[in-house]
Amino acid sequence: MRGIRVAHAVQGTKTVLLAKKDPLNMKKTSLRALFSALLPALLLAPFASAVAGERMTSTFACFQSTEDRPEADFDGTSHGVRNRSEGINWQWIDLRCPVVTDGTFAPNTIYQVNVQGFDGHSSHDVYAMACTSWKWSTGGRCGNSLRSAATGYYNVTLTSGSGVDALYYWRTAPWDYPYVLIQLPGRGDVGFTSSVGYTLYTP
Amino acid sequence: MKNRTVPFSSGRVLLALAACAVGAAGATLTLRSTSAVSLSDAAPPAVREEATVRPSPPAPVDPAAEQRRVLAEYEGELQRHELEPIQPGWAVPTATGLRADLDALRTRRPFSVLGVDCRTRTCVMTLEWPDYERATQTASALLHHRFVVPCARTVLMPEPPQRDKPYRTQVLLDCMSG
Repeated sequence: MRGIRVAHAVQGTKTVLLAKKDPLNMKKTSLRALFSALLPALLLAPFASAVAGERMTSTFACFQSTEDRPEADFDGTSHGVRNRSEGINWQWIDLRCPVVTDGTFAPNTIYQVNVQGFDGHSSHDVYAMACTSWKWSTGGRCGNSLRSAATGYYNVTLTSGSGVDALYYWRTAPWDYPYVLIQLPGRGDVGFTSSVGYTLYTP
Repeated sequence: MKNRTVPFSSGRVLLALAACAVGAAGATLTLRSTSAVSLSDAAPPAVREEATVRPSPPAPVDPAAEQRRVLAEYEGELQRHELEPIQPGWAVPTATGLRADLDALRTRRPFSVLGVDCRTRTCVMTLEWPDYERATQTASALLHHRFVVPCARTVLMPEPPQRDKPYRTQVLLDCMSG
């Protein structure tokens, strides 16, 4: 507890007075000031950086834009959204997923998007793209289309080399609307295909 | 902020240093045992009224000016495509595959394919609809289609002066950039 009292003294004008009186005290004060600055940073830095740059969103936030018939459904196994169509006439579904941005999570700082879920089709994959809808015109831009590699749980990773920049393409101000597109095939030989959510990363 | 427990293996000296540091940072410190330190933030400091400056929203944008800017950017990309040399080994099979993709799309929303031009790393598909309304109904399908090449794609359909006239646009596929 003694240490705490000293540390508080360092913050006030008392420090200056002590230092003027005694050079040895000044040396001690400098050391205390050094530790005061360094130690909290060392202790708290891992917590701060891990939280600030990661934003997870459930696929429940997404909007299905398939034109044929609504097939998005709750998936009880993965607790995500699945494509419930099956049989020989199954249809793909497109899920448009919001990318919520603000001053502390600006779209042009997003360097990676991960899409997670379960791929139940051995001959079709899950596709994911980073996109932007133009605000002042019909259309938009989508980056490279990436897909899940194999059946089972997938984690499709969109990076700056594979389309993430489409979230802020041609933007000089927050005028367009970024989103993540997830395309799910119908039920496959392994089971239903679903998406649980997606994670956005900033540095 | 949540309480945090930081394990400490060293002895009293280091603990005292940590206490100094945390005290200086404006947090309170509770000693639970010689091996664990719990940190919790003190009450937030009183903020003076003049310090709480709210960020102002961005200045309103002239839609027409913004449209011109985006169109100019897009024109630049189409011109860069025109300047690209043709690499037949990539361009021919890619164009053939894209034509097949467009044929599949046309079965639901009729439109004319006036040209598919592939070069070294980009392709431009020139498409036409009977009117603007029908063109806009196809925009989303073109943007999200699983094309034979999984490249970045741009669809831009600015509103024409006359919506009921045939509408033509160029869809760009960029296989180099993301």
